Amino acid sequence: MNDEQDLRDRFEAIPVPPTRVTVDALVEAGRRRAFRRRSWQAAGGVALATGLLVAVPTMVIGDPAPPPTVVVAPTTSARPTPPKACQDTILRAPAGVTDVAASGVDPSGRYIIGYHSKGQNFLPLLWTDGVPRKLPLVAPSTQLTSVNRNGVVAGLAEGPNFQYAFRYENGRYTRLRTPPGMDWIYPYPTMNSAGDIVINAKPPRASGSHSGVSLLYKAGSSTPITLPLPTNANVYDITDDGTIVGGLQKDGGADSAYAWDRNGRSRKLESVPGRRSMVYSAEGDWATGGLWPEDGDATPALWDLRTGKLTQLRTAEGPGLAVNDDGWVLADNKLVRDGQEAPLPIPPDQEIRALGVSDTGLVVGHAVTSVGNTIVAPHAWQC
Amino acid sequence: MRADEEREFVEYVRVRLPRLHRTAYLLCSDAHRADDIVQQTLAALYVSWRKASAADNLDGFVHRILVRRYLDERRRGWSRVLLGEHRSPSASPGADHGIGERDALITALRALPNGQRTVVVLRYFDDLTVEQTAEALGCSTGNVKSQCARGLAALRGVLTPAESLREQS
Repeated sequence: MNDEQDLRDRFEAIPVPPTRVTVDALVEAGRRRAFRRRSWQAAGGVALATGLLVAVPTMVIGDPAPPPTVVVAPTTSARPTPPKACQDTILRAPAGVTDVAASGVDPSGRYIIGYHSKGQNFLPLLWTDGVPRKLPLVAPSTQLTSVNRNGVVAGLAEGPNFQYAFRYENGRYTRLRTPPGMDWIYPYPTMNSAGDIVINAKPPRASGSHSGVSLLYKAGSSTPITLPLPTNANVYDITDDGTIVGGLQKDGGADSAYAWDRNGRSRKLESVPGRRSMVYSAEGDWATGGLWPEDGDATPALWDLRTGKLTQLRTAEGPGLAVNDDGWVLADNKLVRDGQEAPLPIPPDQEIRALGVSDTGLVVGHAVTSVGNTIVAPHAWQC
Repeated sequence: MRADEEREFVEYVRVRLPRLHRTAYLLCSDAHRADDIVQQTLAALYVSWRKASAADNLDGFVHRILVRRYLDERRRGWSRVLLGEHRSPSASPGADHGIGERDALITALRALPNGQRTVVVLRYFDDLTVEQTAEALGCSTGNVKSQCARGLAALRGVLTPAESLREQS
């Protein structure tokens, strides 16, 4: 028997955890998606054609019912003041580059990071004042993950059998070192306006429950400071005043959202009984992330870091992944502004992947085809 | 969607769901992400069912959506949050050689670069041709061949002991 046939046989024998997906649930999800698509096309068509303010169907903030794992068609709600529509712009791509995506923006809105791709490798792009530029490669896959208002970029370099975090500043890449034996970094480096970077690290072959460390790289430094946090802490972002957000893990998953300072002084952020919580992004006084029921999908959450107060956002599904200093949240590829979804215009038969929001209200991301999920173009929406 | 079309969709999904889920799991190594990828893939298929069901190669079409959903998850960076929590479990061979070998294979699969892992799964689990794999990934057939060769070479160390064990038994 040759290797190829042996591999086929062995793939069939790998134990795979049972799926929670059911056919009935899929049909419900499909119906809901079709409903949304029709509603969105109707609403978006008006916005594009006339520039008038429009509202799209959303769920009502403060809905006391727990979110279902498999969603049903959203209900519409009458609103006295429809949210303002956002102005859509397609970002320029460098000459000769296709399949371009935008993945983040600095708080000032001046710098936008993104990529094009070769196979599954990220090739880095940086827009400055709307002008795109291909950055040099530091590894076969060079992924930009955070940019600050000075145009300093943090990212991940990956190649066969290696990965590391880097800082890109003044045209040079600097590799960020990890403590000995802690070569596996996750999830990706994030940075504040000063240029301080945070990430987590653990041994490459460690199990999900293995204790890792959380690292801080002060601006300009490639040597980490190991934060004095609990061994089950994960950090995900750092604000301009040095507040580090993330949470504690339990059984390999999210448990409770926390904010720390660099000396390890902690504040547990408000949660809901029976829900697990985690913060994924923070800016200014705001942090966003998710709340998880014991067995189900996340709903987006917004915390006021001054008070720790929690606001549950019912207008989107999945955790919040980006936030600006006005508390606007990106979750489920939607912009949630003051508790309402702000429509992001998009051509028919395309979907949005919204990934970053600046303090100036600039949302960046890209459009993909509704069928096939192929990247169409990078977008910026001024909201 | 008309009722008869929905019945066709349900019949198609009922048959394909286990295999699509296994593909997604082999790609992302996380049961919850695999569920999400499959659900998003098949919800997208529902919306375009009338057009998709008329395609010459419906299975190939669905694989393309699934792979792009997987890549999309990875591009968002969100997958790394979960991978950071769940990736790289240590192999734990026990007394049962079969279970130990399977653990070793999934561990070795996870250790492959993403490109090699995706190509190997599509070629040897889903039995896609080189051309179909290239189409699903949006790359050249030469790239598929080279990734496949490197992936197989990397997995050979895990495959060989099993072969030896079979020969000995």
